[in-house]
Amino acid sequence: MANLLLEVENVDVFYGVAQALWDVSFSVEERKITALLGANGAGKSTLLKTISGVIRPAKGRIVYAGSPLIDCKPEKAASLGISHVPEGRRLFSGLTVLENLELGAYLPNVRPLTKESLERVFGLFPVLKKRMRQAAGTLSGGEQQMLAIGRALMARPTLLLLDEPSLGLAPIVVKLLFDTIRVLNRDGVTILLVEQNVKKTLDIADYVFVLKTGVMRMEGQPGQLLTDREFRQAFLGRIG
Amino acid sequence: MHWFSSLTTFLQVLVNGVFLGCMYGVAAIGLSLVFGCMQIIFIAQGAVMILAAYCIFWMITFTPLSPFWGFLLIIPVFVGFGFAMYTGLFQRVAKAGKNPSLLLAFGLMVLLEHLMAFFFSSDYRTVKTKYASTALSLAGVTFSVNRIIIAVVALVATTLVFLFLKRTILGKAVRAVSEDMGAAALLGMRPEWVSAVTFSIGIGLAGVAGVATCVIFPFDPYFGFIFSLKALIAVAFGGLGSVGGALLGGVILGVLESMSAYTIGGGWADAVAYAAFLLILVFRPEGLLGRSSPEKA
Repeated sequence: MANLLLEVENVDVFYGVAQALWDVSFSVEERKITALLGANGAGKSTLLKTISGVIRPAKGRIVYAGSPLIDCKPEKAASLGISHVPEGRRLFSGLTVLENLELGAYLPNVRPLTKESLERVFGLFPVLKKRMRQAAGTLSGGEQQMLAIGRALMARPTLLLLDEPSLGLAPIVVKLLFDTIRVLNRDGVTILLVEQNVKKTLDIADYVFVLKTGVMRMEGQPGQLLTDREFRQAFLGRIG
Repeated sequence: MHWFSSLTTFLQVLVNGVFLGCMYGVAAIGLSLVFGCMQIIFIAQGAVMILAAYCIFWMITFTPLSPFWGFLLIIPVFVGFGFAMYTGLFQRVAKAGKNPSLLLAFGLMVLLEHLMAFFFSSDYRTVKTKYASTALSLAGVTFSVNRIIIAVVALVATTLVFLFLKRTILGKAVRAVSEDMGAAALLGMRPEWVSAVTFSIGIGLAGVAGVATCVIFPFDPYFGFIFSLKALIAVAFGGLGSVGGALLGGVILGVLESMSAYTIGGGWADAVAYAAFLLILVFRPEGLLGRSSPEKA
């Protein structure tokens, strides 16, 4: 049995009285790319937020690196090596690119590594170095997504949660981002990717889970899913 | 309505306005910082200033120290006071939303005013400095030493806060938390801690502004409210979230008041200030100096 970095067990999540996730269980293998697919509103982002401590589950538990996360706040999750690149990027738009990156390395254990981390991020995304002194809000959509990922990498994450990194970006930028995700994974970062771009995701993912209206519906390796009739119908829009 | 009789008079009125504005500016920076962490107008800012003024009053009454030593005393004491106020009161209430925080700030203002009235009486107090009547003269324009010291303190305080926000990681975290608390938490920043730091600095600045006020104006326990309003107007002039802008906004306000008091009459200074405030809010809500920021997603 491979090492599991993250295990989500029988989780129920509510927004007020509205239930968003029903008895969801899944796991993320260490050093692998795990993907979560599902339509809008299926609960993918909710699941990521639950893992990073933004939302607390009403039932169930989350085990990270062998120990359960109890009453975990986002800043605690971050200190444990979970970096969450949220939906919509959530950059500090009035701060410069460099300041955004520096804040990515805010935690005391990674702050001394700021310089090396910066070099690494600039190596992955050279355009960020060029835009270093610019306010983050002035970047293009693709550059903003690079900055959001770069900022998360500054924390030297063990587990990187990516929420729809390709949303609204040009195909060439999407390709660059997916290539980068693969590089990061090869460097040892475990990745949990939420996406709507099914084709690209199946290309890079080691294992895929499918959420449907708050319930975990299917799982498998990309090759297995591609032969699944229900999966093809739901995501590829054709049968046969 | 009467115009300036000479260039010297004009310069004198201008200089007086700049000095007055420095005081507004320091209070405005505090207000702007607190707005950043709580998203509310901290209406008790002026009452806190007057509390600092009373501290100085009692200090010079019972010790031989000059009021300006008060800056050294007031800054750490009020930063600590701010920290206690945030962690003890606002941190709990902030969870319930902005309106409860605003109500709490209002309640705090009334409480402070009445406590001061109860303990210190409602009499006007004045703080005299050795140099109260000393002045320098340059080309016929007089600069009172008191006001020069205050302007220097205002500039130093502004510069320090500016450097803190731009150069230190904690200062950058303060700006990040003001922009997006949730995203900051995901990077490991503890929003409560960062907000407590911000609030403490804001209260420390209110203390500095209080010391500056008491050596210029006679004050009573209720004198602070008008300063909360003035600081608010200065912030509106300068644009929220900019330290330099808040100081400059204060200076603009001071000059505007001083000019209108001279040309139209003393009673009109406030009316002109509030009218300018309304015009700014209607036509340039991002402030005279503020850039219109792109809408947050």
